[in-house]
Amino acid sequence: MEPKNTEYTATATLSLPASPAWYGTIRNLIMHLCRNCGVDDRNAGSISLAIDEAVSNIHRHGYHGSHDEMIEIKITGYRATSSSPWKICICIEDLADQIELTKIKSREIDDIRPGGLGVHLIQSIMDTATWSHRDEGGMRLIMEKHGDNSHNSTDVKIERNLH
Amino acid sequence: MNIEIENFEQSTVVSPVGDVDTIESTKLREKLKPILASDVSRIVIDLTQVKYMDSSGIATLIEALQICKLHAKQFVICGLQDGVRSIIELARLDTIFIITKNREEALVA
Repeated sequence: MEPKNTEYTATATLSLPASPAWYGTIRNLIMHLCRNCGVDDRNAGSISLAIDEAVSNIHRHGYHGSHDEMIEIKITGYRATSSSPWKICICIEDLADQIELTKIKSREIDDIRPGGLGVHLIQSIMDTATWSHRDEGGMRLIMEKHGDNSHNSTDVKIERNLH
Repeated sequence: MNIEIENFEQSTVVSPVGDVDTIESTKLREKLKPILASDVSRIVIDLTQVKYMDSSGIATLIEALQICKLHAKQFVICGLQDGVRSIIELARLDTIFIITKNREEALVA
């Protein structure tokens, strides 16, 4: 069913293990939600990839490979009308070890070697990506992607103790 | 994910079928190990049936490329779907890999 020609917001909150066994499910859910918010397949795939990379980093670096630890992904799609640009906002929270924020950075992309691409992909795909420490423990990553190409330079922020 | 392997004269074509993500890239890496250690002179990764690849899949391809370079083998990837081409471009690897449209071109690259 096509979205109505009116302003709307769609929000989904997923609470699930940060385990590779769930990555396919997360990707499919994100793809469907993005499409229903008017996001084209190429951007929906890219947004899914950015979330996949973020969750993979939490699993690997924050939870040290544990398959039982939880994450919460809140994704909100905005659109003023069905013909106007979309905006996707994503918030990923965990209870993992708090990574030193200055250490969250892309490796030199011209250094061709396996690994270390996740942060580069997130920053390349999303318009903004902001990591912070949660007061209650764990990390928070807030990302935005706009469909109007007016935010095409990646704005990466690392902030402490955001709420 | 299924991984099909076909041997041609001096070339081996490896064709993963399905998403190449964190779990599946491990399987691809294991399948590639004996091929990379063999005396075949060209390895082709046919990605025609791969719609999604994450950074772990990219890491697997980089590892294979580096081993091939070390042993003077040719490493070619072909049949890139839009999503896979996109991540390879984002990682700025489109000038590092030999990329062809299809396996026929890859086998004579």
